[in-house]
Order: sequence, then C-alpha cells, then structure tokens
Amino acid sequence: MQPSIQAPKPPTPNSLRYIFGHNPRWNGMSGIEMIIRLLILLLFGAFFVMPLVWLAVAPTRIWQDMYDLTKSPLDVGPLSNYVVAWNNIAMFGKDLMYTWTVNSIWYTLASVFLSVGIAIPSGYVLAVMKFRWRKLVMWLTLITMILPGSAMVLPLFLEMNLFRLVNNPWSIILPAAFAPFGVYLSYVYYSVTLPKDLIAAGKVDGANEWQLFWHIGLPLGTTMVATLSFLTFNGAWNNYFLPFVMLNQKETYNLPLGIAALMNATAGSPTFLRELPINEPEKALGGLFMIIPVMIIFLFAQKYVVAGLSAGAVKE
Amino acid sequence: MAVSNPARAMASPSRSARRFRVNPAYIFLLPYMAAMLLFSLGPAIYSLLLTFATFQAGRPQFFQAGLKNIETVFKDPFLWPSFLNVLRFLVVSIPAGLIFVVLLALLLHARPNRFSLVMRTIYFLPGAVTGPALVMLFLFTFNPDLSVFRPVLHLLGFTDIKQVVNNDTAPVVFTIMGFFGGAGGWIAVFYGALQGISDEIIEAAIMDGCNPIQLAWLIKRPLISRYIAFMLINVLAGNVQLFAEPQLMSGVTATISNLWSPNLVSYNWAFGLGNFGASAVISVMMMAIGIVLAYSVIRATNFYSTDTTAG
Repeated sequence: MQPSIQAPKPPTPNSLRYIFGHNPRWNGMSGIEMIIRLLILLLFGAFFVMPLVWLAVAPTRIWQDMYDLTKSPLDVGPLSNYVVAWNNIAMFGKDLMYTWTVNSIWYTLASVFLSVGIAIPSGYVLAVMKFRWRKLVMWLTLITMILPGSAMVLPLFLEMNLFRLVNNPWSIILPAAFAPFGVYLSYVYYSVTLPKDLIAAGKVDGANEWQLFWHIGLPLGTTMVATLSFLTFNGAWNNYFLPFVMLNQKETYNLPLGIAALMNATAGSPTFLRELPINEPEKALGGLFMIIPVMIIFLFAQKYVVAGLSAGAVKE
Repeated sequence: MAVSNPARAMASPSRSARRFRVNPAYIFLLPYMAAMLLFSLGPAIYSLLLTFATFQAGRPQFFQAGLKNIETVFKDPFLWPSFLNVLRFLVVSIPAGLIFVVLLALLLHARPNRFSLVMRTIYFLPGAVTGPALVMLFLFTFNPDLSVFRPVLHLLGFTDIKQVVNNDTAPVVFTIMGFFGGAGGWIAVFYGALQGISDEIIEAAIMDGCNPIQLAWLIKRPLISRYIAFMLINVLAGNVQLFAEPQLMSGVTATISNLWSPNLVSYNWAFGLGNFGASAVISVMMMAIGIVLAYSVIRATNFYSTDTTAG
C-alpha cells in the first residue's frame, strides 16, 4: 500500500488523459493495487454481463439440453432454433406476442409524449416565471415526488373504475401525465442553464411567454427533453404493477404482462404443463425481445441518462 | 372582507378587469396541476377516505367503517411479517448497494481510461432489464441446473432453485437482482460526478502523501456525497415498494410467499378478498412510510434546501 511507483508525468495531460498508462491520477497506486482493482472490476463485469450472454445463447438450445449437467451453461446450439422458439412464442394464444408488442409501443409512445409534453413547460415556468403560487407548486412537486408510486396503484384503480376506464389502455397511459420528477428535472435544468438576459432580451423584442418558451426555452432544453424521454420510455416500457391491476384481458396486455404470462405458462397452470411448447428457450427469447430495444437505447442514451440523473442531484 | 366598498368597486372597473388577466404561468401549469390532482393528490386523498369506508355492492360508503378497517388490517397475521420482510430487505440492500456502487465508481475512477469507460458501459447495460424480464433472468440465473454461474452455485452446495430462492434468502436474492439492474446507472452517475473533481485537488492530495485509499475516502467521497444522498432517496423509495419480484417469483418457485411484501398483502386484500377498505389502509401506511423515509433523508442531507428557498 506504499505510494511506490511514480508514473511519468504525461507531456500534455489533457489530450493523453484517457490513454492507458498515461494518467496523472493513478500515480498513487502500486502494481499490486492495480491488479486488485482490475480483478474486482472484472469480477463485477462478469456478474453483470454473463447472465445477459446466457440469455442471448439460451434460445439457440433445446430445453432438455439445458438441464444436461455435462454440457456447459453457455453451450451454443444452431441459430435456427431462434426461429423455432419464436414460432412457438407466436403460437402462444394465437399471435398474442404481436398484439403485446404493438400495445407496448403505443402505450409507451403515448406515455412519453404526454409526460414529457407536460413536464418540460411546467419546469420551465417554475424556473423562469414569477407568480404568486410558485412556492406552493414547488412544494407540491417535491411532496408528490416522494409519494411511493405503488401505494397509488390501488387508489388509481378505484378512480379508473369510477371513470369506467378499467381494462382500457388509457387507465395506464393517463397517469403518466403526472411526472413530478420530470418537472423537477426540467426546473433544475432551466434554472441552471437558461441565461436570464436572453429571456429579458426576448421580452424587450415583444415576444410573449409562449413564444419565449417555444423559441428560446425548448431549443435550449433538447438534452433535457432527450433525458426525460428516455427515462419515461424506460418506465413505461417496463411498467408492470399498474397494468397488472388495470388490464385483465390478454389482448390489452403490454409486453411485461405478456412475459409474465409466458413465464407462468408452464409453472402456473398445471393443465397446460409441458403441452405448450413454451419452455426455457421460448421464455428466454421473450425476455430478450422485451429487453433489446431498451438496451439499444441504453447504449446510445447513456450520456443523457447520466446527465439527467446527475442534474436531479445537483442544484446550486 | 365579504362586504366591499361599493363605491370603490364601481370607481375602478378597468383595474379589476386588468387584475383578471390570467398570468400565463397558470396556463402553462394547468395540465400539470390537473394531472397532479387526478393522478396523485386525488387518489391519495381518496385512499385516505377509503380507510374509513365500507363497501356495499361495490360502492364505497364513506365514514361507515369507523376504525374497523384499521382493526382488520392490524389483526392480519400476514401484514407484520411482510413489513419485517421489507425491513430485512432494506437492511441488506441499502448498505450493500451503497458500498458496492461507491466502491466500483471509485475503482473505475482511480484510473479513468478507455477500459474504465468500457466497464462502466457493461455495468450500465443491465439497467435495461427490469420487472418480469429481470425476474425471469434470475429464475434462470439462480437455478443451479441452468445458471450461467452453475459452478459457483454448485460450489456453494446448491442443487435446487428452492434452496437458492426462498423466504429466508429473499432479502439477499432481491438485493442481488436489484443491484444487477440498478447499480450501473448510479455507478455512471457517481463516475460522472468524480470527473468533475479538478485535477489540481487530486494532484495536491497526492503531493501531500495521500495513498489511493485516503484519496478516495477523504477527497473524493465527500465531493460526491450529494449524489449518494440522491441515490439513497431513490433506492429507499423503490425498495419499499417491492411488488413484481416477489409476486412473480412466488408464482413460479412457490418457495417465496405470495404475501411477501406489504404491496402484495394490500393487493390480496383488494383483489383476493374484495376488501378495498383494508387494502386502502395498507396503501396509506405505505405512503406514510415512504414520506417519512424520504423526508428524513432529505432533512438529514439538506437535499432540497436550495430549491424551496429559491423562490
């Protein structure tokens, strides 16, 4: 643990900062410490990545093979088994998988538009405009942000029942309109980044509040819109508890409910047992199918997500 | 107040007309406030009312139950164990989550090069796996026959999934699942925050003879404490609300109780036993616990202080 090895100072610290071995920040570390660090990082890397690799490989195999202890858990079968597994899934309840996919896309898109469309201008107003009840709205936002969402599911069900919206997709889309975290994020973003002079100049030029938001606020907030869209997308795409309570007809299910139904296809209903061709490969493929769109967006949106989550934590 | 001076009111019609002009801020905020009322405050108040209501033919009879619903719920033999389950889960998941997330972020940042960025992305990707997909993945991963970690599970002496996933191991099981899906996002956030620390501070600390561990603990950790608080608020709120994981796992393995968490007990009261009043009592309890937990973290860390005093 002695600060023994002194790495050479890089000639231009900024340009070379990310190149392996030329970082000024690691010169406090000894060789052994570097190895321990590497081992820990790789060990956790394996924990995070191996189950996903397994999931990608599983649909290529035959389920009886998967229980064969003489074979590696990562044994790869012919890729054509993907097609077999998919056809088996599609058979489940007569193309229900396609219905669930279309449902998921439409529920999610509607939720994102509604949620982001309301949260962005609301946060903007809280950050930029002066009005009498501003403090109250701020407080209500913070309080409702804390209210646990799942405690709200049952009351929401009773409310939707009152409006006769149970079993109707709107019962899970409309609640997305209320996104206090999005409002808070938008508020933080605008109060940190929006130059007050710009708004003042716009006012001098005779722009009304709506024009100011549309021509100055929104263009400056594109990062935030992306972040919030991603977060809402993620939440809506994976929404389970609320749809579980609201939607009880298989035709209205979203993918999470569908995957849950697939999962229980053999375990839950003994009458079907192994008669339905829904086994490990099919279940794995169903899960993969639900995960992959999100993962692709994750890869590209990483920057925005980090920016968004960090913005939620920083307010000077 | 009620009786205003008629002469004054007549004297300034234009002024009162001007005062009636609505501040555009309210128009901007109208949809948000409507949504808040409809989907948050409204249901919250409604469930509070239902706490004291009986149901006849599916219609709530307000204030007819007195304290009966509360009594029913408090006598429920499954309620307190479910709270205890969640408590056990929190005791395991919160410290473990915090320690490993901070550790990994610090280790990554000890040498921020391309390797660190690749690892950060690898940690981050499982965030795409939540809800039923996460449960399914871990029903496979915890199954000693199927698991990609089969050698490890066998080494630990497990031969059947019921030994791995049951009521006793549930807090650890859910912690591992939550960490798999949630850690990467927070690691990325902390890593980003650490990059905001200026080189001068770190170089100065090294000059002064800081070893890497002192550097991490004394210099870097305090500078990301705000992010740690933010994570704590979010993770606490999320973990108290456990529903999908125990619900789906109990359906498949049958070794985890289908009344494992308070949300499941509440769900069962409403849809299993048809007692919405009792279910509302648990909803209100969950809300109260959520608010108290979050409020105490916010107070302890002075989290929102700047916002509410800003305006």
